[in-house]
Amino acid sequence: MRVFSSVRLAIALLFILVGVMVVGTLVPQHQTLGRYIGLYGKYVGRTITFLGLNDAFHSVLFNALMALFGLNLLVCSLNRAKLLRKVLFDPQVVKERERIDSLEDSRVFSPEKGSAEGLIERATNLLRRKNYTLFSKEEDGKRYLLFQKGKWGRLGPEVVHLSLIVILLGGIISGLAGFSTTLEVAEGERTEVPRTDKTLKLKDFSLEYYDDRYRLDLYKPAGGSYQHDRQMVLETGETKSYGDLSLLIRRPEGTDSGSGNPLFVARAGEDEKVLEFTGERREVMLPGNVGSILSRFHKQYRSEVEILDSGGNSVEEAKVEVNSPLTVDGVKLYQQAYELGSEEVPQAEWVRLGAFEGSGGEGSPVWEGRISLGEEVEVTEGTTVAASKFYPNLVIGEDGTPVNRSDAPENPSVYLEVKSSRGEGDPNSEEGDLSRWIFQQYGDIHYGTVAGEDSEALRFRLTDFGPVVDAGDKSVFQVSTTPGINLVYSGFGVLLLGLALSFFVFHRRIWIVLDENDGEISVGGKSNKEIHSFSEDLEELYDELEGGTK
Amino acid sequence: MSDSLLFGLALIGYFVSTVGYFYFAITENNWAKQLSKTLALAGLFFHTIALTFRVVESGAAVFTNTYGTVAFWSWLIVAVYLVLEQTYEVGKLGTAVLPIAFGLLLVISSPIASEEISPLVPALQSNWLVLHVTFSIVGYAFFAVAAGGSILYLLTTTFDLTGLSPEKLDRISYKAVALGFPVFTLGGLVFGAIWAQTAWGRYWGWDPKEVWTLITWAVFAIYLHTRLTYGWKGRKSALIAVLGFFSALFTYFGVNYLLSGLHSYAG
Repeated sequence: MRVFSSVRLAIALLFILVGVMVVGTLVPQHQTLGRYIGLYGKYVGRTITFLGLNDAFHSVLFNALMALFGLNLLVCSLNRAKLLRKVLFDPQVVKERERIDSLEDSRVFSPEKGSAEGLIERATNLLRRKNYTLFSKEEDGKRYLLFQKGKWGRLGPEVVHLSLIVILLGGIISGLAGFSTTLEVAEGERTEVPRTDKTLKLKDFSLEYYDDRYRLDLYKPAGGSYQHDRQMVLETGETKSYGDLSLLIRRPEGTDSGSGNPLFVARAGEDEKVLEFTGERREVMLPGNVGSILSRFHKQYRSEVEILDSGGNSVEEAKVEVNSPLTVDGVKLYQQAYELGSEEVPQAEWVRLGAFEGSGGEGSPVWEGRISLGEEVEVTEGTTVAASKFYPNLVIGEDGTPVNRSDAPENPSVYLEVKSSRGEGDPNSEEGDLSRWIFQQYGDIHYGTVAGEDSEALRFRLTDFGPVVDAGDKSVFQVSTTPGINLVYSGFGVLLLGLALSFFVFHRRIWIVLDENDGEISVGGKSNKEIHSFSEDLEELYDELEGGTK
Repeated sequence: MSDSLLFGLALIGYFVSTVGYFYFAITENNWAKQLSKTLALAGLFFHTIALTFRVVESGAAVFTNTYGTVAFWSWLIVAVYLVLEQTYEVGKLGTAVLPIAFGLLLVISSPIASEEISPLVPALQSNWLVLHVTFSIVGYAFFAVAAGGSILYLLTTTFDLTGLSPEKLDRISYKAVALGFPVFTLGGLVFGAIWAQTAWGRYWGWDPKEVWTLITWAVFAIYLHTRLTYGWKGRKSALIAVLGFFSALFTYFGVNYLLSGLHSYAG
């Protein structure tokens, strides 16, 4: 028991814990024995795995050391309890003259006969003004006086030590009773929230970028390859220079802020490179053989989720962002990561189509309906249609293929795959291929897919579409409970209280003994910390007594 | 950028002030002491304006890169030092503290630290950012002053320099630790843990930055315990304080540049 109670053990443990922590951060963790032997040689490598330093912070060694440390703190505190009770509630009023005289800061005064009582009173008044509390006792013709303040400061270290035990307990409880896992869910899909009877549906995940600042990394040629030279932040509209290059990001002309992709302009003399910046990251070769990577800064990861109860009823709709978790029945969901879908184009949940017969395509449709993307329906006998792709803003790209320009529904288009027994199909398309893009806005021009000869032609029209959602994005949540967290936070509060008591409340004691036998007054003081203002208090007291003596 | 010029002026002020303090330490020339103090103050003045500019321009994002945080650290070291000098009349401490502030400011003027301020990534968009970073750096600043006093103590006692009172240096170092320790606990550990809980769902995760913060904390805890319970003073204490400061430096630079972890955006 005595071993556990020694401060020597506490300090030794601190040193060892520091050592293990240093090793735990400098030695790569979670490697194989072979790798450690390769790195450090046979003996050190084996020692590392033997001691569990390949997972230092979860090793038996480290946990045992921490447990020992906690035990040591507890025993130290209990041992000090008796002493503290005495200091706090049973102050030592009687202190012999010799003991006072041997204090570092003490004096002896010899007042004239009969003036001693008056001096004591002056001293008492002075120290009371300074908020000292007086204790006094008379014994064997001597008057003992003790003035003290800040006694609670003595409790500081114990409060700190107990708070550390509370924090460690909170950690143990969290470790044993808590859980932590990651939850990956794709847009439109549902997953059970662990340890609850609730289901989470991810309605949408969005990665928000800063639209006024871009990152530009510049690389200069160095012996056949390129070497990173500088990173700069380009603000929209601000020109920066790099060597002969002037670099600028600006919004496309004729558009208001926010719409359209920004243009990256790099100029060196007559040489100019202009690039429309789409996507998140682009490698661009700049004039003067300067390599560069232009990228966007991430602003927020946001998951719009719906929480459903066991009956499938919606109980809550919420947004989960980094730094603002969602609590579901005591389980916390933190936005942790994401995975953007391979499908870069956002998709409509459904499209409404109309099928018309005859070359004009007027009149009432022979079929009308709402279908989900990818769903195949039979429109008329022998003819099926499936909407396989949806582009909210279709344009024809440089190579002649359709691309989606933005998420804004400026040219909503759907790609229809049509299978029909009516005929070989559109004379303009390849034989047998009845599939094509149709456009909501240009319904009158590109009327739709033709199936069959003119007289029996079947034409389609896109009349409406459902909410546009990004397709295939996944959101990754950290899901956890930390049952000990309140204990840990309480521990933090107690820790701060203890530190405040330890470092800002000083126990100051001043003893005065009036010896009736020789009329001398012994004065001395002691503080539990080396502090400046205490000696000032004593100086002032000495001056007061000095003044009265003369 | 205009603040480069201001940081430059601060650098010059601290450099000449350092030289002045050395001259004072050797010659006891009171005039040199006054001049050094004035120059340190002038440097601090430019430093203050430069920092203010950056904060007004970029807000909390200033506290996310090495450049901004070290500039703030260096500023606090000079400010804490000047207050201590004023209170305890220890002019010679400047010989050890001013070079630290100067050195830190010089390091960030080199290419290892990019001046560019990137906008806040999602994880850093929190009110805890400013609290966690500023309180940690205040703690670091006190530790730097303690280390300055301790280094000077070691030099004084080793080379038997006259004119410096080792006891005074020892006491000032202790005071700096006693003030820095609670602030560092609050900012580095408590605020950091609360933030980690809201951002990542765990208040502690053995991330290298977290571990090194704890190491630094433990070293100064050793300093305090050996001093208060064993009465270790002077040489031994001074060595531990210097060790603690190196640990703080590693927490600051080493972790960012040599180890990878969740705090690695802090580069």
